[in-house]
Amino acid sequence: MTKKALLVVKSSPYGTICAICVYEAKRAAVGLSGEDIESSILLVNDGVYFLLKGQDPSDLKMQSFELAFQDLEDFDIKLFAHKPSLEKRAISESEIRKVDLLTDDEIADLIKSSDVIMTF
Amino acid sequence: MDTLFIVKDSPFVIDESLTPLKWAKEDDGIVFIQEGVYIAKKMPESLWSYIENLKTKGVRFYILKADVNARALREIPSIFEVVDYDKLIDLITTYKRIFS
Repeated sequence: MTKKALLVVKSSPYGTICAICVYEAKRAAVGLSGEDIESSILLVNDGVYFLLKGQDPSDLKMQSFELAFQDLEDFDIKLFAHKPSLEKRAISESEIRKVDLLTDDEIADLIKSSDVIMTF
Repeated sequence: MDTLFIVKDSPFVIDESLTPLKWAKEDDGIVFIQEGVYIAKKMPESLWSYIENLKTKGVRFYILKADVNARALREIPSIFEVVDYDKLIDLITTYKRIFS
């Protein structure tokens, strides 16, 4: 039976080392896919800021987050975001990239269905 | 013993540190460490009722003794089981999965 991994990104893209968190989550997910482990990336709390379209961190000498979200489907990596985290930050669906939004109950179920959880 | 949630941020600085309370179900545990132990000092009444409801459902609450002592938290509500580092390691290795 295929195992399932849940990779959780909780921190903001800026101001901390977590600027690379979403890249690390994707890298782990891609690596796990090679081990026949299904991975899902879940963005919660300030992690949902990664989803905002049109971010240009070049003046901060940081690379775009676009690459982190590319090719996820090719590796069967699912991308989820915590709906209440978006609502709390007044972020509308039109402002973010395509992602499946989950309620608290749905996240509770996602946690229960995962064999391992890694937080970035 | 299913999922162990680890809460390490102060509930007063980062209110979302308590998000796992919404995701915990029966057979889960929540352990408070580092700044998370300040939850034992003061908690809103509404949150207490929420926690007591989870306790009724079988969710267990733990709090790390070393971090409690370091912060001079003298009175720990009985809803928490005070655990030392050895017990914390037992919990981490016993629960099916960890959410930190």
